[in-house]
Amino acid sequence: MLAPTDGRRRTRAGQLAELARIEARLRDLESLTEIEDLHREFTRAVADREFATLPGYFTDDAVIDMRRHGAMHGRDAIARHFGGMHAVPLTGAGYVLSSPILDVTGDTAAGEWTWHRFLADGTVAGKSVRVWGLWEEGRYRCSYRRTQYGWRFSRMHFRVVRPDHDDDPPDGGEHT
Amino acid sequence: MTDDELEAQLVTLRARVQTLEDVEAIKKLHRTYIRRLADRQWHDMVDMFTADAVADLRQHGPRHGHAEIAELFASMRAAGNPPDGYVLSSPVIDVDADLATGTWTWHRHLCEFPVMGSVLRVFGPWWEGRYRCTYRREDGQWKFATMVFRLVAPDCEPEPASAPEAVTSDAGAH
Repeated sequence: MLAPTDGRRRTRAGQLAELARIEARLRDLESLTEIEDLHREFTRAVADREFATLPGYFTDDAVIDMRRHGAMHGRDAIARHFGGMHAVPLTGAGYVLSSPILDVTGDTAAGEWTWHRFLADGTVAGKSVRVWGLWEEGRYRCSYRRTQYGWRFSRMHFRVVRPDHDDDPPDGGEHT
Repeated sequence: MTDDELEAQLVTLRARVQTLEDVEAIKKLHRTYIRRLADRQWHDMVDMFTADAVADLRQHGPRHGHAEIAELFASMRAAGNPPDGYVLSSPVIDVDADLATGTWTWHRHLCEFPVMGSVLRVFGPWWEGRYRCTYRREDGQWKFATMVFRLVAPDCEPEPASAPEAVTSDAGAH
């Protein structure tokens, strides 16, 4: 809201109300930065294969729906999911997270990101060979919630979309 | 702090917050544009430009206004739907009231090429490009006022032979 422009003075109460509005707008901007940091740190932890830390990025009641794995509800199920990634050691891959589009509404937020993975190892006749140039593009569609520990993922939907689109999981995945 | 001092500080604070919000809104506009481009969602893209916008993309030459820009997008749609990956990065945005300028880096990763009547998948080729844009706020909404886009690597793109004019950042004020 603009300050009076007709020469009238604003009361102290009016000034304090304006200050509160500015503070709320600043808080939303700070939230934007915090959520971007959360998602970037999560992706860096994935890239660095720090699987044990990943459940800590989620709320207790979070739901994830990653590629073909189907929906998983709650932090314990999420921990089991990421724990299973130990069994598929993927090294030598580079990750780029870009184009965040975030909408913050108080203590909740929605966000969409583009993700790229650049791979450098392929498998030929059971042996790993170094092949440059392979990439995948994916999309994150997430919800975030502010907790006493800061912003956390409350929902994470992820699919690879190019060059070949992931099929939906057998259970259809999570549709919220 | 006197009432006058507080009022002056409020005016300054409000302007600073507004600038930060504008930068975020412009980033959102450009990122949405690229995501629609990647997903070939052409139908909503023209509305992201002002009615008098100028789009000067690669060898196509400057296109003025919604009708010419829509025509350009229609020709891009007709060129097919390659499964290419797009990365938009390094925004530098400067806001001045209802006008703004922005420079971005863009990468496109290509992987399908027509060979002898069929399509071969070959990973590796990529392009780097630069967006130099001006943005204008209209009815509270940020839109593209001018958009210049050129490839810069691995080979720098020559200026289009038919380019009759240079699109500069001043165009955003028109």
